Amino acid sequence: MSIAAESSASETTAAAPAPAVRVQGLGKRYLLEGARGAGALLQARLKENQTFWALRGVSFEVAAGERVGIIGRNGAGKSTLLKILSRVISPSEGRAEIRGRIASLLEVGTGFNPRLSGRANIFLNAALLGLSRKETEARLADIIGFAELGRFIEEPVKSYSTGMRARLGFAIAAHIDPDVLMLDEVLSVGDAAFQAKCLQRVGEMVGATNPTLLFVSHSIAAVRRFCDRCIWLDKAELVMDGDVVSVTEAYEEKLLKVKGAYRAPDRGRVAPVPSPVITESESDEDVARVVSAAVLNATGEQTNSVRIDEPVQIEVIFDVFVRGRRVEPALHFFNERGDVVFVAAFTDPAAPRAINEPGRHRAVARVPGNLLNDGVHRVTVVLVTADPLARHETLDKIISFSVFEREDARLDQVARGRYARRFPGAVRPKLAWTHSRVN
Amino acid sequence: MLTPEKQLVVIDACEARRPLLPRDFWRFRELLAQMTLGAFRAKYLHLKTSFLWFYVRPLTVTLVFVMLKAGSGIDLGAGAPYALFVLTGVCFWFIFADTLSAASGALARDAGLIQKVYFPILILPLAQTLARLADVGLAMIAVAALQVTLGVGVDWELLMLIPVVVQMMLLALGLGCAVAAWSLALPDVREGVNVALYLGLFLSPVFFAPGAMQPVARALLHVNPLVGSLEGARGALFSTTSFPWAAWSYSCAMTGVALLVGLTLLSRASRNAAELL
Repeated sequence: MSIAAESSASETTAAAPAPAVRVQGLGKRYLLEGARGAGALLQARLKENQTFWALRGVSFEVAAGERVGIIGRNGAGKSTLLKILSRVISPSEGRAEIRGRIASLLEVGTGFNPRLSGRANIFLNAALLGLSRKETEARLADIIGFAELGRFIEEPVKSYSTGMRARLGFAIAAHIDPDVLMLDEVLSVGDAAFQAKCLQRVGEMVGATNPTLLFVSHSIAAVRRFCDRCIWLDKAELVMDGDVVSVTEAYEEKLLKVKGAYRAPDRGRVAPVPSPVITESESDEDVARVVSAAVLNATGEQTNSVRIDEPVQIEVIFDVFVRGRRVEPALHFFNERGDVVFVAAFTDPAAPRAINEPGRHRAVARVPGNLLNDGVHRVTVVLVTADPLARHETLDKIISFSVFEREDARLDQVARGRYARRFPGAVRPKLAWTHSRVN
Repeated sequence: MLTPEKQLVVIDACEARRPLLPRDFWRFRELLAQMTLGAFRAKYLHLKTSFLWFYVRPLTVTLVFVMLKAGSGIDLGAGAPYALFVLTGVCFWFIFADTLSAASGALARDAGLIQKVYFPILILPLAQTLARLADVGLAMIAVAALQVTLGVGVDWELLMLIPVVVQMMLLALGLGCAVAAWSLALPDVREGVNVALYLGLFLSPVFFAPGAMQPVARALLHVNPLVGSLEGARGALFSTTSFPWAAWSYSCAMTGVALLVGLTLLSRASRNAAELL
């Protein structure tokens, strides 16, 4: 069997520190309705069409302390993978090894006894996560403090609000100091303030005890923030495994069609698209044409994603065919929701009267760091003449990039301040704050 | 870190079942304690008069049988006053039946937990069984009170009471595990168990002594492993009744078989429990 051969081979060469998680050819086959029943228990032979694979042939290794995001569409097998690794369900094929104490954040309120007090439930829930009484007692003060329940800690849990239960549940799970921490969409439960607190605690845990983190999420922003590596699952199989930026970029390119570069087709004109921003008339005259457009990072390399505190540059290369027409590029920035973030006109001081020389031109617009909010941005590239006002080419949302934030960003680096939540609004500028005492 | 030795957890599709006693069972001892306490609380601490309610069923059933005996004049008991004979039988029978029923429903009751977090699922039926030991204590108070009232003495065979109780609880645990595991694939099994327990009240020596039966009926009756347990309890408690060594040895052997089958089925089922629930 290939799995056995692989494992014996890796044992002989295990000179390097053992990985925290090693997954080899892991797969999970589910029975469809009709194939269930007594046969499942007796493991009777199954027909192939009575089953489907929720996960198949997934292999990877995670070093201790590594933070791995697991992304993919609904039904891609992310949760199945995490359920197998947390031993809730068993794999149908393959093997996994995990070194150290495993903790997965439970769905909020799992395992609470509503009749017992909050304090008694801490012991019950911690026991469920594998803590001894002594270990729980050592953490009791921290857990109670984190849950912010005050005197309610002695009240039965049935008298708690949903938010209070959520805080207590998370407080317990967040204080068990695991070696391997598995988070499955924890951010999808609870209100915004609670999610913020969870994220903050995850950040603290990652910093302080440095557990190995396996983080399933639909939120690419959250994965980029907390993880340094990313695994992309699609249709039960592992599509890509690599550093967080390249995998999430590839994922966004595939699913959200985020693409940081555009090159015009050799022939023919791109059909004009009505723009919600520009009301100028569309010119039929061949005055200028875009050759390519690209998103560049601060050092001028083409990219699909930029850090929120770093500038992003939009490069437009275009041909001007007619002399003296004052051709200029313009950029329209849209966010994920399709809202216009802003429109930028060509304001190069070296070309006060726009571009009048025929030939190939390159214009670069630099958007400062700490201006755009996080998420995907799409850019419409337009070539216009101001006098007479006419639009010569409109390439609607032709390039795009995503703005992301890292959890390790310093307080003075980003506009987040001390708040963990997602900031609403089209932009997230870092303002120049001052303060003085007046009395 | 509180765990300096990093234990290696291996998840392998090749293993057909999880071991009878998972290696980390000891690590979850606190959970077993908490679950036992929880099961105890659920039964006794949510009502102020729960302890009194425990007595209602055995006392009324005993009363009915005593009145039947008085009315018909037929004495089916042996070795002790009939009231004491029946009370002992009824108390131990209901402890057995309740334990079996609680253990077999333990997985379904905590399905939500099994589907979300890993722990050795043997803890669930085991905790239910341990919590029922409180019933034994309560039953003994009633039996002892009646025994003193009726002036029935004890002898050295009283020492056998604890082994008999342990054997009966283990039999209930073994059968409960088997039913719990089996009912994952076939939930109807538990209905069948309810019927079996109902019939068992009449097919076990609860209100009659095996000695009062015809030889053929007596031989058939002894297939039931509870004969040894119930007669054993009486033999241990009453100086007037000798301990049924042969019948109880058979009960012990059947308990061993039940435990083996129950734990094997449960460990097989534990691989897929989260999906089957």
